[in-house]
Amino acid sequence: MAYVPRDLSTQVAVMVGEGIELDRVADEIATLARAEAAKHNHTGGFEGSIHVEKVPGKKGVTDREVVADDPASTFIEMGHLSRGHTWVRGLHILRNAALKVRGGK
Amino acid sequence: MIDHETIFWSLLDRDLISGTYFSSETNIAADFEIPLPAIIYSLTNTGQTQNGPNLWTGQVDVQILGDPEPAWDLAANVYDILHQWADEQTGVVDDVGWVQDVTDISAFSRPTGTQIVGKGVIQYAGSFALALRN
Repeated sequence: MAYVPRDLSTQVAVMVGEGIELDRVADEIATLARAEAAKHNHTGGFEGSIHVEKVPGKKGVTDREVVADDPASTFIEMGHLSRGHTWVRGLHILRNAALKVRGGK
Repeated sequence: MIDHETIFWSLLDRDLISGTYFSSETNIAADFEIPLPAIIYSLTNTGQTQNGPNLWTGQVDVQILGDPEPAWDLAANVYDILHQWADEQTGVVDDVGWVQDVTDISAFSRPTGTQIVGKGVIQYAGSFALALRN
């Protein structure tokens, strides 16, 4: 008799999480992000800090995270207040790279 | 196409304490001095999905700026407001659309690293995935 395990989707997600396809997609996002960051290069710190980490997801799934851990990375990505209290727009480099790879805009 | 900018702006305008400054970062003039505390956001519309009729996905990055205590209070308030739109089904803008789901990508936290903002001002950053319908 055939049956479908109740946790089939989790089992598949765990398998995918161990595979190289997620690595490939994450590497593609990181590469795009580095290329965009290079256009705004002041110190090279942000661009050089972009890398991929394997992180634990839900139910034993291994996920990928594209990380920029330069000390100023959040302010570069999201924007920040200047000393004159005007707004310096975020570059949204990581977000845009992820959207581009997933086929968004 | 869904007007996600109008939905987000209208709901914040309705639900925030009157007088709280908020703006999409694309609408801020380069020389405009931001009144504090403030909410600055950036919206993306990822596009329509095939998982439901008129279902659109997107993301909003929200920055909260201000002195430490008011900034935290505002971040907590905005977090609750965002989730109430979906959880309590209050995120409806007549004739435009409604918020079906709000998921934390990263809840509000203070970025670790160099604080670039002005003296005494802190920044909370949060990102949320949105599912909208029209």
